[in-house]
Amino acid sequence: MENNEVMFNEYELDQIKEVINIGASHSSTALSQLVNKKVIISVPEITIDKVENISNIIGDNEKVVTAILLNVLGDAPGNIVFMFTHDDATRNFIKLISNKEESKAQYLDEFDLSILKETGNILAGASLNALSVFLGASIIQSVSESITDMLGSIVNTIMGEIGQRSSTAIICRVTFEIEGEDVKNPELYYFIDPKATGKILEMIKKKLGA
Amino acid sequence: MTKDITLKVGEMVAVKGKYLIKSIGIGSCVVVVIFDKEENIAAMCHSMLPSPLEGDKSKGQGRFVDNVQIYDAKYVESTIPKMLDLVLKLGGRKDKLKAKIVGGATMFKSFSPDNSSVGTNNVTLTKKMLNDLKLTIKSENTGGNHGRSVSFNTTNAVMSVNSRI
Repeated sequence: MENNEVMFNEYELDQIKEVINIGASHSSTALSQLVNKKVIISVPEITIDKVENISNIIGDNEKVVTAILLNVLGDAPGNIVFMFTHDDATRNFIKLISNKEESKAQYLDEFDLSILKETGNILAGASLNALSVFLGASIIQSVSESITDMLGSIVNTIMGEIGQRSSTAIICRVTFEIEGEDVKNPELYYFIDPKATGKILEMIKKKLGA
Repeated sequence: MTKDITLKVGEMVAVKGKYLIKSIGIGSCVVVVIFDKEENIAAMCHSMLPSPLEGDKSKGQGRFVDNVQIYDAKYVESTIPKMLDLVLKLGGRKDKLKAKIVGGATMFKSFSPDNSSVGTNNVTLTKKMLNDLKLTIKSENTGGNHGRSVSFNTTNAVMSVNSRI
């Protein structure tokens, strides 16, 4: 991709969506095994827009969220971000995984963050592993990092990073739901480095033998 | 009555009169205000990156809020001279102009392997440019690892910075 503008036709977008779908469904299988419950995932939503517009698309900029960020390195670079809102849904999620006693603290503590970080690690690992097998590519993940801040600040910082290389960004959003539990939509975002999408499409082409 | 203007990322505005200019979700981005306190003139931008990518020709359209023109301001490099220009056009006096800077946080450690993140680059370039234009930096709230929200009141030149953490 020499050009900074990213343009895809419908067919290519479908391919990217499918790749994300494969990754996300492996994540959900991992999550399902982790909590021993049925997990439902949404169809990935793909958005392509200018880097400065992304934060307005994602949601309420002032909402405080905890984001777990993983850098993806290797043949298909990008970022994976899990977003957890600061409410009962996230607390229930943590309780479900760790059997932690109920706490009424306003913000998440060190233990909670550690649980979320590890969950992020497991889910991203499952998803990237599936992708690397499917694409026949070498994909490496970094150590996960957690941050609690305003949604807008977090997204704009990630977009600033992507903005150094491209004027447009591709984001894929997937949400999970755990059956029978009040765990509302932990969100999973794939921020794909636009330079990587060309490579991903090439690898799919090779795989299809076309 | 004070009017509110909310800037999104990559936008800039220059006004004269009673305004409260706000911007939320500042991470590594930088918010710069150039103002003339007595004349109630101010320009504020929320820029994302220091300088443009090679070959980036995409330009924002800008928009209007209550008949106030909002300009495109994604890059610090091109925005600061434009802000000064607009402030002077509105009647700001060059020798009375002052500036305030907010933002430029380094939120993720993994994005700054050698201590140079987008945030620090933004702040460094902003300060250098303001210095070159001989504008005094009245106050700043930059760096750190947390996001910010700001609002600037043109009547008393008070800038309030909020963090949620």
